[in-house]
Amino acid sequence: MKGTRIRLCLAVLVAVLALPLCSFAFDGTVTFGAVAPLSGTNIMVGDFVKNGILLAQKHINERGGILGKELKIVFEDEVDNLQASVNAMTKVMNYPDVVAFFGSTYSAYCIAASPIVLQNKITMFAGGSSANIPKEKNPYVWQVRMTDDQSGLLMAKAATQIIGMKNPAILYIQESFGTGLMTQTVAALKNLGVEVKEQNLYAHNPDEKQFSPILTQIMNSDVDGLIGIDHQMPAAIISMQATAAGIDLPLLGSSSFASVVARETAKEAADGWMGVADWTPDVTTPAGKAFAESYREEYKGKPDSDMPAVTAYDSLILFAEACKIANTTTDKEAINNALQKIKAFPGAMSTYSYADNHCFSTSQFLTVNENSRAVLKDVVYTREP
Amino acid sequence: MLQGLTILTQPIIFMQLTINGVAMGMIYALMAMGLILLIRAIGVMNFAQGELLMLGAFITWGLTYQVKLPLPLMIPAAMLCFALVGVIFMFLVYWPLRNNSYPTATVISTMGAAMAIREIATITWGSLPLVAAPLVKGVLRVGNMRIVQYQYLLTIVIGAILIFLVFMLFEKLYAGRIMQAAAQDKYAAELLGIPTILTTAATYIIVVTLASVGGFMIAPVFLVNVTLGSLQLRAFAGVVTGGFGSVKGAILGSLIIGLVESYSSAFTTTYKDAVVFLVLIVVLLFRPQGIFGELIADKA
Repeated sequence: MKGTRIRLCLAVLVAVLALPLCSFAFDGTVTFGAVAPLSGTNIMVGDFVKNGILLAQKHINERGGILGKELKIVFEDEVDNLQASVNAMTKVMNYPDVVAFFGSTYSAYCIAASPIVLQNKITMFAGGSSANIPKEKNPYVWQVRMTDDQSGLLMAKAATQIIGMKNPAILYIQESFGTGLMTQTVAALKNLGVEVKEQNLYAHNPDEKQFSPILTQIMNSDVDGLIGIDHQMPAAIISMQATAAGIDLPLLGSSSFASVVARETAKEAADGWMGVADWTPDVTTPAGKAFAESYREEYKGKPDSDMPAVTAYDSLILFAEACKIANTTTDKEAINNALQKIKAFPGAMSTYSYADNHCFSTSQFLTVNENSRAVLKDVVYTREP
Repeated sequence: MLQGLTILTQPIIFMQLTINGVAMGMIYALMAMGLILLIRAIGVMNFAQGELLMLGAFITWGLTYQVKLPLPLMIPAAMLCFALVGVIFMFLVYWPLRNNSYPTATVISTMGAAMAIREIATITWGSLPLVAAPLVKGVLRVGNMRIVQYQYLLTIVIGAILIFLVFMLFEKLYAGRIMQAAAQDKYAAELLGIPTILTTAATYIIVVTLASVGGFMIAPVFLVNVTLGSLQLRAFAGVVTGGFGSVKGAILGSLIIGLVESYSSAFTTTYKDAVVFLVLIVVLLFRPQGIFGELIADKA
């Protein structure tokens, strides 16, 4: 009798301990691909992408998976060059189980892979924000982030209507993203009555680290503000060197100037920069706050959430939503078509709605860096969610 | 063009650009000197020179902020680490391939080493840029005008001291002459009882130390991160401009590259690098052996 009781107790204990392991009896799997720079000089971005993807996977599987199927992820490393990136994306597309994937965070790489995506008829969530991605008119390529033409408009409005710049200098990184966003910002500024003089456009090479000569000239010119368009690390270096140079101008930056990398690296030197940002952990929407908090919880001791992480996270959440709308996890065409039915979907970064240009984002954040935080000042919309 | 000249004629801007240019030139010179020393000693172009600079920045950051050594202790500890890296680098990258029938094998080996160093640094110190405090805080001012960060001036001073020490080593000291002898004729040097393994190791230690000190000096301005290696392209340009095989040429060439880079930003920031390499093309067209170099054909 005593032995039976002990066995019964043990059986109950085993059942209780095993409960979390089989809280969802998944009915098969669904595989999503992800391409990120997991080695090489851009690994910092890759870490964020990986964290975002894994967090989304965890959240989706905790809620029962996608249509009862467990979400699996396959990662491929795009290192830090075009060839490796296209190879990685091609490899992911050709995994038999992968039904959609998160492409490169770099626009130029996404554009290079676009014909292969079309050939393979597989949904790609592009991590890049270039306005040239929609120009490909690829029905299988989608953008979660705001495209640069829209960001340029918001930056121009912030520069003129909020800061009051009339004769700004623009310092930008000379590659696909930087040149694109600079062109869009200059065009938008012109429409708002502010002509940016040719001599006030300062390009720099992607591997530039010595900004002092440029900043010296900006300081000694007649400009009344500085607009920075850059990636995270140059944004940090520019912030630090601008402070060291004693630049006393209103400062407006692209999303990267509000990034955690720029803020935590440049510390007080990052303060004062206004940003038109894709993301700030200071977000106030319920979905945004939930993401920011769970990211902090999941990756304790690591840097706070940043744009690449939330872009990857939201891409996967949108994919899951499309699967639910299409009621399938295997029919790639149906899942791709279902993305057109996304309407006012509350994501962490924005409220997403389908648009003809395949760009889901409807808003960006207006932030000001204070005490190394990107303090949210406003959410600015480019269209109705 | 006219606007660029107008900018350069402003004394304050000219001074700022000159100091920036000389400081950067010094960093390129430290790398370029290392390149020349290796070319002269073992006939190998080291494509991991930039990564050695980067590693130096990481090592000094680690000793300062992770091991928490005060500066007077950090400097000798860093020197020991640089020496160790130099010896390891030699035995892993050069030594196993020194008798290879394909002379390019060692060059390709340095390219592989560059990638390996980047990945090791990422695994060890993470992917985020690290901040190092300047050795001398503050900015040099003339009146109300900020001219340049003291760190740039210190970089120039430290660079000049290191260059002087290397010259003293090779021109005045017996050890330097032994190294030169081993570099010029390894076989004859061995017949005279000079241990060429030690002279080669000493060369590697000097090369790594020069590059690493460069990394240490620029870390406060450029951040400590794996992209620091990209600076080696300018060092190559300095070597070619000054002349292959000439230490003096490499130093002068690097200073020229630094100054051209700095001054050209007054004319164009978009094509700044293009201007630097245009200078290189012009030098190659009119003086292919470089300013101080011997004719490559003669060397061959």
